[in-house]
Amino acid sequence: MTRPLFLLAASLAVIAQQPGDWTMYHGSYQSTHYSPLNQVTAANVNSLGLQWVFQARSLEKFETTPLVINGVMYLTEAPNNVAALDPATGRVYWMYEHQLPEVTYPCCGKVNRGVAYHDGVIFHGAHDAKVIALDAKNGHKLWETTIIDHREGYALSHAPLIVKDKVIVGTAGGELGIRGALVGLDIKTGKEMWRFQIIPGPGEKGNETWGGDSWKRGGGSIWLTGSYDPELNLTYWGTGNPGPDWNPTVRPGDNLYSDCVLALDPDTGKLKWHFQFTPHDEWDWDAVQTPVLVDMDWRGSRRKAMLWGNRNGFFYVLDRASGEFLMGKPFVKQDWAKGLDDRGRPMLAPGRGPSKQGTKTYPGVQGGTNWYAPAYSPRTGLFYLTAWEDYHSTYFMWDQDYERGKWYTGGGVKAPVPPTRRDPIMKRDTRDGYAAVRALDPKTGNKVWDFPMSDMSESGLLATGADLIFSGNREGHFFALDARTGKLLWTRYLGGQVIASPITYLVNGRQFVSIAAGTSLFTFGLNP
Amino acid sequence: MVTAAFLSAQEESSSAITNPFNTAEDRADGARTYLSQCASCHGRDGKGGQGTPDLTTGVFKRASSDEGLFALVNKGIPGTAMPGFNLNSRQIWQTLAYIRSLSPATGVRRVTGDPARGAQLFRANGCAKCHDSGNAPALPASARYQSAEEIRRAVTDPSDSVQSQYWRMRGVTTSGQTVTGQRLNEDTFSVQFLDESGRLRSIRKSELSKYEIIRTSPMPSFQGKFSPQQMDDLTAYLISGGSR
Repeated sequence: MTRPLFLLAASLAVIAQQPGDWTMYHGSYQSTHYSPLNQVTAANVNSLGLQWVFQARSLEKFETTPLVINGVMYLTEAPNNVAALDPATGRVYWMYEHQLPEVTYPCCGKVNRGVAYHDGVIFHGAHDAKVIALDAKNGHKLWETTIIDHREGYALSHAPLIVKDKVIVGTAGGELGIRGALVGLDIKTGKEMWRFQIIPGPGEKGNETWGGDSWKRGGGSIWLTGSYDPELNLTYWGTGNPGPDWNPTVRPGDNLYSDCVLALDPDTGKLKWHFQFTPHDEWDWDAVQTPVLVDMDWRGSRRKAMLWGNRNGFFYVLDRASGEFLMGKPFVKQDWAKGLDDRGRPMLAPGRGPSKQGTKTYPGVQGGTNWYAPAYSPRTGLFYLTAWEDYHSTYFMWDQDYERGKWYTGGGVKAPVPPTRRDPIMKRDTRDGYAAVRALDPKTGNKVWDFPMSDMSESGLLATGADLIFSGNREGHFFALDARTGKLLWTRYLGGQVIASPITYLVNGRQFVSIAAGTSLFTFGLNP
Repeated sequence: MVTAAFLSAQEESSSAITNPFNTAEDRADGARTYLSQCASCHGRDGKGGQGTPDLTTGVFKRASSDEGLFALVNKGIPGTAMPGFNLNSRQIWQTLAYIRSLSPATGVRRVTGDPARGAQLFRANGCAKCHDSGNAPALPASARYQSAEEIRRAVTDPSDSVQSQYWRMRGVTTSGQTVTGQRLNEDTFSVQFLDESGRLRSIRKSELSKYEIIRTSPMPSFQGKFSPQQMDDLTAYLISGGSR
């Protein structure tokens, strides 16, 4: 009985590992956003044509990154609908609509970024803090687990990560006075197997980094999918800002484990190591970026490294086995730190934190980069990210009491650049900052090339085996660059802001590229 | 913690925060929030009624500082019909900026001039030629949320703060032709503009060897051309938005 089942499971796993599939949110456990597919090249990219469009019904920001597995695409539309469709034509097979309570507490729009897949099951996190398992054949609900009481300000917005027999998911809500958690659920039943509190309670290590009882509302949200190293058996997650965001006087100390990358044992949820990018953060610089896992030569020895472009404006290289800081360097204009010490801790510049009168600081509140995916190509050895250059905010601090279900930020921010832009008219110029697709040499942190744009961009990146970088931007463009030089090779105007990351996959032997823009998903392929 | 709270309260009294969101644009956004959240009790004009206080007198019974008013909107007033509002801080500040602007005696929109005489000045100086053409801010309607100070500055120093939709552009094409006009929109690859002949045009930046944005205003300065009384009259007319 067990053997045939085992064989079937193994063959499904092999199918799911096909290089032509996009099997998880970040493309792979290494989260490099690199695909070896190479049919679309610099020489033929000009014949890339629109194949089909999926039009979401919601007018909410469309942040989905689809999966393509064994000939089926799975994606989410806001707030918490899941669709299975034909990746060749865009025709929908089934749609699951999660019924939300009247009031939920997403900080910044009822967005959702995607799903996870394992062995015929789709896993989805919803704004009411529920994780839902769906039969991938028909969208039938198999189980549902409530992680936490959403009325306390919690929501789920990221795609879960599947590691062995666990579904791993974390809680958003860093602006609502939450105390974040990462949870491991049993993949078959949804039963909670472990829980790691991002903000440690009394008696737990790290609680001493919070003055008084400020840990109770300490934030530490999780709103982006992590990575996994099967050899080390460690899963990596970036954590959000401490709360309240802009009034650090009520939370003296380093405020662990906010603004960290955490390395956890996925079987037990036990913390192996942590690295805090912005101790005692005063600017809302969540470390909610993609942990990019790369094995590389580092000053004479082979290292299992982690590359990290942080919202605080620094690019980091860490040893992902030990958490050792290897290097850090600013990749955009910043004036809050004089540099990093030899353990990677920022050496603060005086007077850069929020104030009652307002303090103008670089980078601005959306950071030097943010949650949208960077990429790494093993062919070029370069790290690529979307950078917000020459961009500042004015940070204000004021006193605020916590109230359940309300924003608890202890201040505010004024920025000449809006956090997102739906207006089709560009109402500013680059004097207040601009975005660039930026290539860095991970060995030095030095810029290798730059593709500057007129406005900001919240688009992630995709690197391919033909040395192309695909990205989009807030203006509504989708384009391809030469991964070695940054030269623009191809662009199409899709007319709606890109707030997602592109993917590529094979269908019937042809390479397709998909990107969400505006309220639609656009899929391109080479015209025959 | 008690000590810390006491210290922060003292700090507050010596350097209270003033509303960081108090531009004309903020007040316009605040007006929208006011209409959706506040007007049902306080009236569309802010003058109150049915037991709710008049918000246009410049005197607020429960708080006088911006910070105090912020707390009232955020938390509500226990024992009264005033609830705490689930707005983010930016929305609250903008709404307060709008509410304060409703006070003709004390607000940023306080004027002493005669709007009727201001309207005559507006006509006599030919202002409508541009300001009723679509090529410049429509007046007086678009001055509705401006402060008196902002209006005076715009009249005496028109280039001080030109809204982006009235920026102009100048480009030189790779073949040496100069193109100029009102810059309507722009992205990484192209610029859209209204050229001097009134034609809507879109040009690729790759076809331009030079491109610049001109942020100054073509309007002449009226510095010294009006008496103080005339300036007050004109301001009173413009600030009325044409509605009072």
